[in-house]
Amino acid sequence: MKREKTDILIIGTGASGAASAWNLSKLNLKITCLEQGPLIDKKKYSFNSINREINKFKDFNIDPNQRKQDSDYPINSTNSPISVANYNAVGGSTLIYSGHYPRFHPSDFKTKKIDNIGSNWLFNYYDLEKFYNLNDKMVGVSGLTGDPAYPKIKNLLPPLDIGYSGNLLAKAFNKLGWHWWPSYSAVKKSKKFKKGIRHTAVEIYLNKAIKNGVIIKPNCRVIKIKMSSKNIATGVIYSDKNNKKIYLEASIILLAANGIGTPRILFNSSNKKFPNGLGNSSGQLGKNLMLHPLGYVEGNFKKFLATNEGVEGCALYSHEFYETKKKRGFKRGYTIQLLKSPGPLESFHYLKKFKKIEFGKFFFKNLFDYFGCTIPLAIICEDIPDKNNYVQLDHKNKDSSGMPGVKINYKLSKNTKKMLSHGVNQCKKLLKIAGAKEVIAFGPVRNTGWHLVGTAKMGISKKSSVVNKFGQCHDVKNLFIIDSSIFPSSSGVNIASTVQAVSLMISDHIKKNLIKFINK
Amino acid sequence: MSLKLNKYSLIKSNLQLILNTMIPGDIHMPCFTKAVKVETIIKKFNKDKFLLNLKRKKINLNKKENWDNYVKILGNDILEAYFTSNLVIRSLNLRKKKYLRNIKKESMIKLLEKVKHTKKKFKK
Repeated sequence: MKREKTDILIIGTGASGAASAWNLSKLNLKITCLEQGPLIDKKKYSFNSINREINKFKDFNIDPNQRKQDSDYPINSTNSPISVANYNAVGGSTLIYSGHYPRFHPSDFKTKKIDNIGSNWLFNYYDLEKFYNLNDKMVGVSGLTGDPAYPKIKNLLPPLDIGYSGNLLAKAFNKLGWHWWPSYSAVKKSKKFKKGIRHTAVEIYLNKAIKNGVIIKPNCRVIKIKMSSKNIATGVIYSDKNNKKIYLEASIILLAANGIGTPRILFNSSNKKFPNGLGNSSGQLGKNLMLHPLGYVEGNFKKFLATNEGVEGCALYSHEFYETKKKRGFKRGYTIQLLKSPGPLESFHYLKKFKKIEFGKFFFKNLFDYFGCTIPLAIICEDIPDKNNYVQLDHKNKDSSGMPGVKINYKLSKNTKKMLSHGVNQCKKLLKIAGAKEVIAFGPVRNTGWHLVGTAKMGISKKSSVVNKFGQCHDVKNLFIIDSSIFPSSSGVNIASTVQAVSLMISDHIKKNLIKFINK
Repeated sequence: MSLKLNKYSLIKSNLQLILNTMIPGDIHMPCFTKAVKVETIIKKFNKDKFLLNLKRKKINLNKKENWDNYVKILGNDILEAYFTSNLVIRSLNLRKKKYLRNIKKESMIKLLEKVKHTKKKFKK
């Protein structure tokens, strides 16, 4: 087998891998990033591409089981009401994300202490604040300072327009006396590009890291992490684009393959010492999978409001029901997000599914009764860790390099069901007050497992957790997990901002203690 | 007119009929062939059995079986071609301007005043 050598190896180049690659890139060390997906031309995934709507159904489909590209691995979700959405390429899922960039609430870091549910983090919001600020600066987050839901967030770029639908909804929120605020977005206003400019992990971090000498290897899938007899990770075996196996030796390994991909690699790296998966002496690896169950409520206003335009992911949000209130009958809470309604193509496919449109005489009448007339709301529920929700290897379904796929086993908890139903009722009320003539609602929406959290959780004890507060594996000291698998709680907001802040914090810790890890 | 040319024009006119029946246009939107050249679709389905069948005779769109078949074959492709054509994008914009002419937006900052003065209910 061919052999290669590097000082620091980063597995995965999505939100977390990219942030650490940049943060470590100024060290005088050889840093290599292995990415199972290809390097894709920016024009293809731009918000402003004329084919964006078409691409959503083809190469940029969010469902890996439908895309079935060589870079994808099978994810069996028959045992879950929610299936996984992701993207495998240089830049990871940030190539297709909406760019909604909220931070976690301070309370999200101590749910056990405050609400006696879930687990506490080993650091708090204020420990992470410095890295949130650095990440916001790197990303260029648009938003408005002064949100009463958060401690003061400064240095934001001007907020994006909330659009006609945002205006209408804001008035309804005000009538009800509920909290709302314009969204935090990784999208910059632009005169040239109507939809704004949304940078991905490639433009934000990876291009800068490459300039500093970091090597990115696309189409290279890590199969196994190898270990010495002294419980030290020595390197990885990866499969290159020609399916040739290569051994890459490394002094420090950072794993950034998300809440599904990370346990998959660790399970596949089992050895005599760790027969149940590398770093899994606690038995917690793969468990506590959290997915942010999503409820969908849509109001049709029977008039054109250009709701298909505006901020791609979320124009404004409400944290009115974010934290625990006893009388609601569930713990923790959810975010209400105002989404953009679909464009003409997606509208057609959506209506077709419900047999509400046909080609022919009434084509435009049917289309324009829906297109641009509806306001969609998403309810992002905080998920609670549960050991019965877990990830395992799926030996029946293998990827293009012969590595086993993943099976997820997941059920909605009673707490989440109550939360979801509460959210749906509140959103219906909100839309009626805003003037909607018809409201439909359903949830959990199946293909919305974007936020994969909790499968290698952090903790003090080696017996009950996989990593410490710096993502360092309890069992393998030079192996760090820097993605959302280490989160002990899920929060009720999108995770990209926190994923990158945590990754920056861990890589900062590595920088400061480098000698300790390199001279292992 | 040569036989070959004759067959081609039959294909073209039949296809034009199908496409404009599928997407007929309305007061704001153009019919399909105004937005997308029929030749683009002919090129796309070049040598497809469906296209070769169109050169035989005038087609009957009232026959459900025929109609369903055309929708199945052409549906996705013509939607994509239509909604990414410049004329359609322009028409959608004009339509939007017309409908939004009388809808006024309030200042977001003004709307937020009420939120700013609500009690802070979040655990810090």
